[in-house]
Amino acid sequence: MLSQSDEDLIEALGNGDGDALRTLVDRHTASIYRFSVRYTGDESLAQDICQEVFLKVYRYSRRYKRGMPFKTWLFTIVRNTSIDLARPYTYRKTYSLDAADETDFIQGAAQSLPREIHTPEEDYSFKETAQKLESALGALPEKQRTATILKYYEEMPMKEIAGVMETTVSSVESLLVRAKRNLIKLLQL
Amino acid sequence: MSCRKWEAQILRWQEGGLDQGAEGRLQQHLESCVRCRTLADKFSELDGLFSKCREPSLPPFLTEKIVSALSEEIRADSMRGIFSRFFGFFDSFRPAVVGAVLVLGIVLGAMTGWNLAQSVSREATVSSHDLLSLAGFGASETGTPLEFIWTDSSEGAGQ
Repeated sequence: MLSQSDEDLIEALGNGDGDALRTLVDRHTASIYRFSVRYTGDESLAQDICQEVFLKVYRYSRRYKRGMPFKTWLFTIVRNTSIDLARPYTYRKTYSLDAADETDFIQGAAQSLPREIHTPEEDYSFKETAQKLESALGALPEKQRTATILKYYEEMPMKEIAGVMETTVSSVESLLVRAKRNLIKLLQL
Repeated sequence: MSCRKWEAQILRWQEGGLDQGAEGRLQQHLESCVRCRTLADKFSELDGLFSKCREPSLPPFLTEKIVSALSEEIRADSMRGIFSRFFGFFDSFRPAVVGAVLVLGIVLGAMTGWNLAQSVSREATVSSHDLLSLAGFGASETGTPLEFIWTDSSEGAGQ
């Protein structure tokens, strides 16, 4: 079972093999959890997302079309579930963004982020900035955040990210450029 | 090309996704454009930060919790029956099935109602017949309520 590909496992699951599901859970929980924590900034919510994702994988296993990359299929479910479950909770809803007010929002969010690591008296460390980067991620608009997490944390190729986000590679590039520009502003690099 | 358009090139270049010609053109632009050179440096700095971010540690027993929740779901599914899971494609036909059941219900209801009306009418005929016989009106054995009315108005008046 452990040596089987994800595609074989999802097919076996579609035929009612419960062990296949167990193997998929063991194999993918960590990456789903990592994505969800970074996406929502909430560990407890990320656990709920993991559980909901695997329930959907179980329910939709028969709809999986062989030939479609499993990771793309899985992360499409992960993203949609994260959007659904995170919607009622996050501050991001308060700051729901249109392209037009994105710049204002980023400037506002930059002012609201903790500034202590930028004061000269503080012991400035690279690690602290990295932690701040994770907080800043939460201030990005949803699409930019998703593209950034998939690219820089999950190290997905552009084509796969485009598949997950149901868009084109050039749109993903454009999202990543805007995300990076926003993060530079937020972190005041 | 405006500086905005070079930004995507910078991103691709840092990913190692530019061919030699495009890379040469970008290098030339970076030499002459301070703004884009600064942006490229900041993008690199940001990439460094991404690589330094710690991995969120997986909460203990998360996979066990998920497997346990899934086992319950699978058990509930088997209680609901194999039909619901493996013939799930019937879901697409649900409106048609509901419609067919409704039509069938209406037809059966109408048939039952018609049968019931028939039997009530037959019973009413017999009882009128008996009543009229008892009252001394001569009614034919095979008469219908309509015949009794005629009998009543013509023959009954002569007696």
